[in-house]
Amino acid sequence: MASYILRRLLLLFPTLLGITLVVFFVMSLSPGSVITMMRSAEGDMRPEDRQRTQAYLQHRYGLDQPKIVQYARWLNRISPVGFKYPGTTLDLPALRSAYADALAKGQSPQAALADVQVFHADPAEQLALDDGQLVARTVRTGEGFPAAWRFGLKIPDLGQSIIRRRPVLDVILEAMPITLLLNGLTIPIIYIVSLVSGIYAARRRGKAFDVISGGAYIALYSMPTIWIGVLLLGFLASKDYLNAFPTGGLHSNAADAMTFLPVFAAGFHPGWLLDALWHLVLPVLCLTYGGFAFLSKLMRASVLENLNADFARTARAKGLSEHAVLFRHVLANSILPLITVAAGILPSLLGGSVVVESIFSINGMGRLMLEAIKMKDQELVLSNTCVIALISLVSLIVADIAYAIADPRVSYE
Amino acid sequence: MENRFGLRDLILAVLLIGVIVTVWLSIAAGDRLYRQFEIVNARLQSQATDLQRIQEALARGVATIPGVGPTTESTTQPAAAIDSPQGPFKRILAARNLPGFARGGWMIDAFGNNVGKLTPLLSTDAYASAVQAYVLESLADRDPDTLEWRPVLASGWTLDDHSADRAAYVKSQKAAGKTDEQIAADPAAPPALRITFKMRPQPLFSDGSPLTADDVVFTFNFIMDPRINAPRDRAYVSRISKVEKTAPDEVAFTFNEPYFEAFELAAGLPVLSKNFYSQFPPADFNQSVGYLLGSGPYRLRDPKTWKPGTPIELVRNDRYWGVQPAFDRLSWREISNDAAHLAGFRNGDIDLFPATPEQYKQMIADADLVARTQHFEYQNPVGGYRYIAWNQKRSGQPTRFADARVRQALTLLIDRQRMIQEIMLGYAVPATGPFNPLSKQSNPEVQPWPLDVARAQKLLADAGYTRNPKDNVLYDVAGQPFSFKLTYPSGSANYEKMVLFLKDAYARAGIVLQPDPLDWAVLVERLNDKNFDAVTLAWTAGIEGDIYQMFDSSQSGPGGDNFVAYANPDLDAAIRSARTTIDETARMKRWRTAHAILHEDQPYTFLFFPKSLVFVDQRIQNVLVTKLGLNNRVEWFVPANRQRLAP
Repeated sequence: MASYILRRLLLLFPTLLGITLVVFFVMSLSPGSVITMMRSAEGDMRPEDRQRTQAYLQHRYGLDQPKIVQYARWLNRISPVGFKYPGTTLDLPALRSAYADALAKGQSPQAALADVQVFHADPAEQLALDDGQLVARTVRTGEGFPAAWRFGLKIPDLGQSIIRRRPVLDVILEAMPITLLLNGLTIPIIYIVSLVSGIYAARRRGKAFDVISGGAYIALYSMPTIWIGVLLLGFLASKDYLNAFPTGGLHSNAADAMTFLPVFAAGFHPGWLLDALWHLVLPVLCLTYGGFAFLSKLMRASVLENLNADFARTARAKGLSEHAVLFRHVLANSILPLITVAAGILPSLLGGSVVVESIFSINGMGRLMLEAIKMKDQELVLSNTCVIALISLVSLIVADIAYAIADPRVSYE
Repeated sequence: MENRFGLRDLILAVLLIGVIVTVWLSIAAGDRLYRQFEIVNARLQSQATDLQRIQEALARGVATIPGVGPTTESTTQPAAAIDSPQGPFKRILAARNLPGFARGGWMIDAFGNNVGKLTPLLSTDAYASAVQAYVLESLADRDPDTLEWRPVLASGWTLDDHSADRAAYVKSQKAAGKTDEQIAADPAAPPALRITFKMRPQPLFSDGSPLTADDVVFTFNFIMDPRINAPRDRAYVSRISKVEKTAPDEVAFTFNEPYFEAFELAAGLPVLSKNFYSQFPPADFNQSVGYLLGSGPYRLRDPKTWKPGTPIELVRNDRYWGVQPAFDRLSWREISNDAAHLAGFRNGDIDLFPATPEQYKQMIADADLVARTQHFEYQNPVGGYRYIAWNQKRSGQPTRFADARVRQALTLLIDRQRMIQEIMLGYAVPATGPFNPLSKQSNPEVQPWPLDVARAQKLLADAGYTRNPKDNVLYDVAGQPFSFKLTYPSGSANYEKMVLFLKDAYARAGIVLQPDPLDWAVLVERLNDKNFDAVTLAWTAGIEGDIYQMFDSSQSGPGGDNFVAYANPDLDAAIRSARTTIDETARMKRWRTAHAILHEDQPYTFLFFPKSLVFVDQRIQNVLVTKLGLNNRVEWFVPANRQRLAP
């Protein structure tokens, strides 16, 4: 078992590498770049100013380098093992000659310094003038060591989002809990409903409940989320119909001033907790309704199969009640397929929340990813993909392990 | 069997999860309490500092605000300056006299997108600047009644135009063999323009520190610091060559080149607090998201802890030096979905709704909605215009659009009135040039080209196009059919409708238009490479717009916005002289000349200026249309009985 897990964990890395490689090249080979996208977001600018800005941003984020170098640099940054302090080989003579060139063009020392700082130096370097001589003010760890010596364990760095101008890690840490909260509520609901109705439908195979629930789930499954979301908004959240739910967001306007729990003092005040749950009703509804069909059908089929199996007949033959047969013998065997599909559900829910998050104005991973792709923010897309892929791959492994634990017949030796 | 997960295990598991959730919830509750406590604490502290300052001032026996306490000779500022009928706050003071005026309540607006940063200089979107407008103030702003500049943080200014001296000096130095760069760096050269602002003594930042000339100088130096990630602002203010404090209450802006927007650059610079912003190392500042602190009527509750994704709420700045506005809070919610935005407005959760023409038409047909809201349709002075740009040069070769007669004919074939009716549902005005009809730059003598098919056909015939009776298509001298691709941004139903309308109009004259929708990123690249036949897009205009980048022949190179390769020496001369003229009357004359030339030449077919269409909740009073669009929200109020949320 241990060797199996180890093998699976080791396989993670080539898979991740492949995913990021494909995403990187699809992103960077497609026309347009984050700089032009930002330009349209920033409005018009004088051409000479724009070119300066463009050069500055390209230099700052390393977008002026060959694509393969950009990818290698990114890989080195996010990897826990790699070269520490990359790009710290300070080329002071080159910077000084650039400074001299700028001075020769008639620029003032201050303007020349700014020019060299912006267009020639690494963004991490801080240059200064000391007695008319250009010097670097940055303290550099690892300076002077050959590259091989700087190779080793390091803290992975997800990089900087270009459009948000912030560390990608911060951006992800803000969005991830919201998406996890949505999915943390959604998955148990889907599972409980599907389990119960799947078992019930199997027991009453061909009866009204089986037919109606089966049909209804398929119907729900076929309805696009974007349409249902807008309908829910229009009918359940609009004053013209049933103004029962908020139109979006996660909290009411005055949520900060609310008590934590509901209070009954001069009328009912929902409090912060209930307010948040109330805001979650419609998004969670949107995420759940399509998930019942697959799982309940799976559960129904598997219960039916086991009800007709030899061990169930034996149990009935020794006089056990149908109830005992179902709950003590059949159920445990029927849940096994649901464990294997659990891993597959998480990535698809992360994808599904793109639509739900934008309908209900929730700032989760889905919206973040969408914005990053739209604006072609390479760093943000790559790191997001990496995080989502990692979650999916790890959940696949966890599902495999859980399967082995739940089913003694399965072993990975 | 014994290892089976039974009912008891299930109950235990549920209980365990229940305990964990309860503990987590209580931690969350404690955290919330702590944050509230911090807010109260910060407020108490700021009140204590204010109290101390007042006591010290009382002990010294001088007036803290000139004119209010015992008068001293230390200030030259008349006491009535702030609340005089001519002052910057006259409109708020007028609002206070309206029936039903009450302070308090919230004003809630919505943004269609996530606001990633509120820090000035770092934020890039229009939403963030809308928020910053209530927090940061500049030395002067435009009076919404007259569009003239009026003093805000400054009490007055003097403008010294030395451009003639400068030109003479540059000429003499050039004769001596010096390069442009050397002259630019020469400290002995006289400046072309010098604007000196006299600072008001009253303004305070919301942290209680006074706003002085030092802060203005700091703001300029801060933007010019190359370590600050503000390339856009830096490019913009780098036309100012120097900002210096010339007296304790005086600050002077020096320009080496005469430039028509010089005053706007200096007077419109949002003043940042030296005290607050100088405490951050540049790397920290570049990473920040909510470092927004200024002297304006509203403030961010805690600039250091605001995080994107949390609601944007500005609270009233209790230390505001001017006249306090009515709303306790201005709040913006992020609503990405159009249907949700509209539902929120209909429910009364949101006070404002900017509508598209289709939405507006539907909404004004809804009597119930109209009864409980107010709606405005107005021409926005800073709103842009739609156009079709005809590319005159492609891969070094002149195209068929290089002939001015062809461009004129293509304009004459469009019925703009019908286009406005059908595509914008009547909510637009025809454009005759790049200047807003409300702007002084616009030449009133220019009349829009009418729909005149006969004249267009004659112009095309003169240009050598003949109609083939077989397929009813125009052919040029070389025997090629008159066919072109019209590029437009994909995904917009409005553009789609417009392009189909144009296709119809041109087909009648025998011209084949092929719609060419492109993704924005690709479209921008095509414009950069000048690889297109014709493109329809929109430019934003300004109260005084600069057309140099779109139409000057020097801007047709790589990266320039003159992507149609248009060149007219007369126009170049008009634009360049307008840009370097400081005197307004003379300058406007030159802009109008440029307008007439553009109208005659039609490098673009100017289509229309869309109108702004806004719905506002009925409970908000004193919403007016001014020359600057809707009046500033500091003038709005909600009567006491209709206020919804407590401070």
